[in-house]
Amino acid sequence: MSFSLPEILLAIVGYLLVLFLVAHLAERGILSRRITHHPATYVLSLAVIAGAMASNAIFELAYRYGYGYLLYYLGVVLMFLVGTLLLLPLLRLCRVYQLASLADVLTFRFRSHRVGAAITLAMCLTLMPLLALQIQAVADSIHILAGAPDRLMPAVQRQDTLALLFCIIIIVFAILFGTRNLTSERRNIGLVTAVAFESLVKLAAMLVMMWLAVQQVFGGFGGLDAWLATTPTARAVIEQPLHGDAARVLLLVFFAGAVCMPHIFHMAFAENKESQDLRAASWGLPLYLLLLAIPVLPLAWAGMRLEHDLPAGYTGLAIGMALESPGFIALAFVAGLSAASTAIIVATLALANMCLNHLILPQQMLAIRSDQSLYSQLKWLRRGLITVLILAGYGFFMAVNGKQSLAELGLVAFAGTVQFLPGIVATPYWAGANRKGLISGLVVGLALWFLLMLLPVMGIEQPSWLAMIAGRWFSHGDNAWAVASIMALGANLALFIVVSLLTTTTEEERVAAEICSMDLLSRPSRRTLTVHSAGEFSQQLAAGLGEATAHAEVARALRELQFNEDETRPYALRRLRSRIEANLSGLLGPAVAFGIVNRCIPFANKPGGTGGDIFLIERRLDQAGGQFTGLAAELDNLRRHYRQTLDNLPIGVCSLTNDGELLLWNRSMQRITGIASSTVLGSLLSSLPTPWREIITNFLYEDADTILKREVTLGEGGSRWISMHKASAGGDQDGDQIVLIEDISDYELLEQELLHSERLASIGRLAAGVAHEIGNPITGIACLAQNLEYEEDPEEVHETARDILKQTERVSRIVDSLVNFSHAGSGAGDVRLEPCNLADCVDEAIHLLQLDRQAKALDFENHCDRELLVLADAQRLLQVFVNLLGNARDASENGGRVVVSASVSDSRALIEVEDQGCGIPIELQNQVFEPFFTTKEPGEGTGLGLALVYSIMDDMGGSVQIQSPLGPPPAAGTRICLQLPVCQYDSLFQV
Amino acid sequence: MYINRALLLVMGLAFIFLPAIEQWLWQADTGWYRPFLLWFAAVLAAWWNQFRRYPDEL
Repeated sequence: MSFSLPEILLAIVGYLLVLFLVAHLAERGILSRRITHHPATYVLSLAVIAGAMASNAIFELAYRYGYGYLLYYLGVVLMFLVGTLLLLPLLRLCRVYQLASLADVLTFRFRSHRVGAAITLAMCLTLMPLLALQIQAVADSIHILAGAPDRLMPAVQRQDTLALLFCIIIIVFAILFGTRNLTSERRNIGLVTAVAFESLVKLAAMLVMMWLAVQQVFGGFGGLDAWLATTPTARAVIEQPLHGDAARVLLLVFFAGAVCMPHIFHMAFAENKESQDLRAASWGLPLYLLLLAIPVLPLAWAGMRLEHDLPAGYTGLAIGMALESPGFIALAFVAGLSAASTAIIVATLALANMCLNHLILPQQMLAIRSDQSLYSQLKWLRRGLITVLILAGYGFFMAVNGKQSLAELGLVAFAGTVQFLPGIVATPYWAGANRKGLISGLVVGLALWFLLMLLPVMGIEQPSWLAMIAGRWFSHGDNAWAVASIMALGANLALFIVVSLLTTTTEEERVAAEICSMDLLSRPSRRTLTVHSAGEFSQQLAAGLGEATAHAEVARALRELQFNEDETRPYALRRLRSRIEANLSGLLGPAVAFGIVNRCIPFANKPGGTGGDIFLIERRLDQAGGQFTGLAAELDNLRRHYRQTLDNLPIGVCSLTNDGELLLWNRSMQRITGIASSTVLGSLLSSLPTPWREIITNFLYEDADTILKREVTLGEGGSRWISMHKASAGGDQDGDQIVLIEDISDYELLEQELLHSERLASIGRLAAGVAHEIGNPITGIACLAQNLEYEEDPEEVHETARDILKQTERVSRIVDSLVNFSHAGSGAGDVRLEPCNLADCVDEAIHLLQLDRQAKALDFENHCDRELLVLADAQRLLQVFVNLLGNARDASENGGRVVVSASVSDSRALIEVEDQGCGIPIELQNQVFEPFFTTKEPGEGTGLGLALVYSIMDDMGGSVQIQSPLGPPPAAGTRICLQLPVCQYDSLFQV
Repeated sequence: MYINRALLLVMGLAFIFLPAIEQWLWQADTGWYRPFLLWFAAVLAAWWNQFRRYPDEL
């Protein structure tokens, strides 16, 4: 049974067109997003690992190793079952730093573009047998389907021509599939969906083939069991022992292949950024491979029973031909074709990216021209690389020239990629590893692999000395490749460890190792950038990327971070820089991205500003949510508790770095200032709105650590009063600063109300005296008015009228004094500083006190200079003297003397109010200015007098002090010293 | 760090019971599909393990 060449080629192109159609429908969104973004699609796309190895070569393994063929699947299964050990750490790294290949990861970890170049070259070399395997599987299948070799042309020539034709078709489709989406910003949905579709086709074909073979060859599964019981040669296949050196090496090789093979890495990490998808793959991929592995043995046994003469790798085709079933043949061919084609496409796409990022871009072979977008140049380069790589695979296939079986080629490729395992394992788990160890281990391991495995596969004689050495161990027949693999890996590992231990690790590598080994990948540091806005990023990056690309990359990073274009916050700019580096890493590889960003957007070499970014760390801890366990969870709870406490403090708290970056801004701070924390956190103090910028900045520069009261004018919101305190966070003057701001407006208003009440209380106390004082002139006026009624002499009438007017003036003066006093300061916070005659003010106070006739009779003496002017609010100053002289009177005995004197020193008036009273005990002197503190009997004093004096003097920029006792008791005496600025009427002053 | 405690426990148990499992697998009259049952059990365990996890722990 045979098919014509056009029929076969049509089938190939038709199948690939179906794949392309699926990709196109997915990319255009015609296929539902529920399908394309479903975890199952991702899981099925990972089945790209099951290339022609799973559809063809696996039968060879089954014949050779019995159940040992399962190790091919179990290696992959084991890697995904224990995914938390290696896959999750790698996924974290790849997601955060936009790493898309193994070379990216190792370049990032070992901080050297040479590592990337070495890994890429080695990967290209080790992948050649795998590409040749896929090409050979399809080419041989075409050869078999086309019938006898002599029907068209000589066998080798025809096979090669068909293989080349197949390669050209694959190149076209690989370019169509893979070079549309250049950045790793989003998944290549088309490719992922097409590969998932291919996996389904492959699985369905294998299961249907098994069902048909068992039914048609054995008459059902009962017949298969009966045949097995009576056929010892078939039974022997499953009775071969699994354990043994070869089995262990097989398991290790396939285990490593699950993460080292570039096409699997590409699908697992570059096309997926979600850990839940990887979690789904931890059971989904093993389930898929289980279903794919089940048909292998029944099909192999069916092939044995039919006694076909084709190579074991083409068992499916052989069964179809023996059964003369075109449907069966089509299934076997499609299974092989789909597996091989997707493996080639994805592997070359991944390799092309690696070559571009690690071989071409670091050599600056790509010239950035302003007239051509970087993306366009990258696209054409990638297309060229895909072509070169597939043709190189074809070249290797030609070199092997069908001398090796499919399984041999597969094993050599997997044994080659296992050499990368030490580097991958060291990435998250060994911080001491360095690039010298990695490179030397890799060079020796790959050299041994090349000499012991690749040369024999290509039919080239080993050097005699090597053949002699190897002959000692290579007498194991089928296990020779296992010994060679383990030798190469062992030498690689030993050198890696020894050289890493003996050589020094650079600081860069140490930092990268720390990043790779941490639970949370990024190490947020608070370094200062030389650029100060997002706009400057585009300008700076244009030098390295070209204007258009720089602008596009900055806009993309801003969009991803949800920042505005006018962003200036240092914290936001640092995040922007990291994001741009990560995005460029996805585009150009980590080494080039690191170089460009470091060159174009460097950090400033400023002292300070290099500590941890507390705000960012907190943000990340918050985002980590409830994933902590054990001690970490307890610590996180404690952190949240203290954070909550700080946030809910009724006092505003803000914390600043020594370079002025705001790290903390709690709720009270938001309430007091009206500035949301989200707008200021991470920004500079200088970017705060007025007046808070000036208030906090001035306070930070002041020597005093405390300001008890400061008035803040808030535009339309009126005035508020605050008290401020500051401290260094670490007790270090150069460290972070903490500023506490308390809103004392309510307290201030209350104080003013109390001031007014006290004043009214004073008036009440004076009322009797006032009544008496007013009563006398009124009586006088009444007498004068009575006399006036009978007076006829004009001179007398004039005299009486003048007397009445005098008495009236006296009443008016008393009433004016009272009115002035009662209204003083009733306007809240209305301090009007103006030149004020001190002596007149003292006189007024003495006059008011003397209105109280029931009070003790004291001798008040005003010795103040009549010309001395002080800068004060006259009405408030009057209140001060009324309170002080009133206290002096209460403390003094009848007939005592109270002296008010003033002097000038350094433009300040020093006013002393001295009495001969009982004095104030030293231990009470600290308390007398506190509100409601009094030494008087209950009902005699409110305890507010001196508190108000202190408050008023503070408002007016003055001070008050107590000196007591002045002499021995009982007349110890007290001296209250006031200080106020001296002033003149013609002087300019500001309030 | 990345070490999953449940995974460590499963690996420990697998090591302890490996001889018994091997004996069960390679019994003379066993069905050819028996290794696949064990494989399926491992898939179920992996499904249960991921099912009870937090949706995203990156």
